Amino acid sequence: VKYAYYPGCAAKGSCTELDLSVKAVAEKLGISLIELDKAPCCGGREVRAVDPFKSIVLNGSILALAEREGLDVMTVCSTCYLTICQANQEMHKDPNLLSRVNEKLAEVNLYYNGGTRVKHLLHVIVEDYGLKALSGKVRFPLLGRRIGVFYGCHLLRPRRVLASERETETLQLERLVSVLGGTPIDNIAHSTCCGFPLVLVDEVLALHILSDYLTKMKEVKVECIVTTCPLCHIALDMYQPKAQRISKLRFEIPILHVSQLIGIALGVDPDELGVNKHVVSTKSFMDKIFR
Amino acid sequence: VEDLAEGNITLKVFRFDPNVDKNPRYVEYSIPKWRDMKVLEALVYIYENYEPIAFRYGCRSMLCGVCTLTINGEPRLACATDVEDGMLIEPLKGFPIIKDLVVDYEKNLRKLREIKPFLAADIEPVKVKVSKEAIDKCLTYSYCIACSACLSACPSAQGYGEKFIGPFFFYFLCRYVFDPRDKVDRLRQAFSEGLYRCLSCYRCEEVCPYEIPVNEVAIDELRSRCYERGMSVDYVKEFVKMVDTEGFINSSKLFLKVKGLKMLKDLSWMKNVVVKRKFTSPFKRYGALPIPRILKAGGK
Repeated sequence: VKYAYYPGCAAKGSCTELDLSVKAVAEKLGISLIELDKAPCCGGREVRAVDPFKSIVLNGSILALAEREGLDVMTVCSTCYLTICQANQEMHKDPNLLSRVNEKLAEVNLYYNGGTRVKHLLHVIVEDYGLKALSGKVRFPLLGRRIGVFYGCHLLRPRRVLASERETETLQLERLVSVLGGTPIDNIAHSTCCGFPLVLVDEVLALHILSDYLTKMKEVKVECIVTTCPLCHIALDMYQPKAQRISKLRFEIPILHVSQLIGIALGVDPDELGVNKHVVSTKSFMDKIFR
Repeated sequence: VEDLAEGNITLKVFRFDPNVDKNPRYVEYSIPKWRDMKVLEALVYIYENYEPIAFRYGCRSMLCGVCTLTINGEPRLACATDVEDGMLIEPLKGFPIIKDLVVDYEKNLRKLREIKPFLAADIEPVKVKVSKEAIDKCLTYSYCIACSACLSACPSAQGYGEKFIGPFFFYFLCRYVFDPRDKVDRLRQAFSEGLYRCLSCYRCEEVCPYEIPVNEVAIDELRSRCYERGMSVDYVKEFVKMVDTEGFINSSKLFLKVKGLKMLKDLSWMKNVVVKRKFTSPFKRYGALPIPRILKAGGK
């Protein structure tokens, strides 16, 4: 199994441990990754909102680079996933749009036929690699630890765009956590936002949204939260100390990327997973698994 | 009704009368269920056969938008939701409770009075020619019944300080952007009502009984028009500029550009973030393809 790996900006910036752990886990599972190192930013929801055509050309170039390798794109970010999927669907539906995009891509010697499929790391593991195969590789089961699952909005919504992408789009993270030996806690996993898009717009509002979520997770006694989105990770981990201060509550909940959680269960060296690169210490959780 | 009977079910209903009760309580009611029975019919059955619980309803056909409740944790129209055994019925979250399932919409009414979601024209509207395209465009903004489900589910609207007016209000505003007779600067209005505080979490669309893609048709539409007129926030301006010039987002550089000297206000947090190497070098280049540059050269 081989994929065109699109890390996105966060995994190359504030969440380098995500990039590190994805590569370590892929190697352990025999999944080969060809990194799209010339691919631009997907533009997120920001470029999408102010200039939809620019967003589609940006994502068209990512899809074209993968197509040139003859591979499906694998993202590790929920927002990149939605943004690339949406552009791909729009080009499929409108051949005229695809040819306008190709006119632009020609200037950087790219051409997109429309044949690339988009997957998130979670889909690659659950649908392609298979949970049965994965369960055979688990060396350090998560001992029933209570793990909050957090998808990030853009792996779930809007359904108008995402429902047609997958046959079984729901509960994949819950199933994955169970296979790794943890107890998935999903009471509000499908209906909450982490507040990340507002951290640089209105930090106080973002922190209130974040601390609302963390309070609910604390109430159900999670021992860590696993997320499929580095942007959510930035909010949940990096901004957790600020959320504590604003809510006057003590959370101290370690936040792991899904690749890190898989890596821990597979027995990958924690240093290779970058679990020491988080703002909220992961030590208490690691000690519980490896004691 | 007897022909359609499907046995008995139990519902758990929120009860609270602030004049009598200290705290809210949940009461279980066992009621007969018939085929295609809606939550609203179940509430009417409880009202007529058990006790007079307070709830609102009007048209019974998804048009008036007053029977919105929190059903199994999600905002739904009682008249359009199939009743199921064990359902939890609560008042619409995010609004003050008047009694039982009736909430106070005064906050909404006040906002509606402020934003004037009606044709605001100082001339006789009939004298302005309205094109077929404008009418069609306005019609695409005519499906909202103001049921407030989106407001209840919106993390920003329910968040601190009422700085984000809420999804369906933007949908209303957007309609008048396309009406040539309207004389209010709807873009400025949207901007000052917190347009950029939308999270793009798509909860509004998820809970809308008509599945209106509020974010895409209203908020993104308003944002792109506001952006063209220079009404934006530093974060979006710097984000778009960085994608344009470098093709990639250098997160620490973006943070520094947006926060500037303000980041010194929280030194202990900054120190922790730097120690954990959450910030890469702001001078790092990524070598991404110059897509926005070729777009700029060729025009839109």
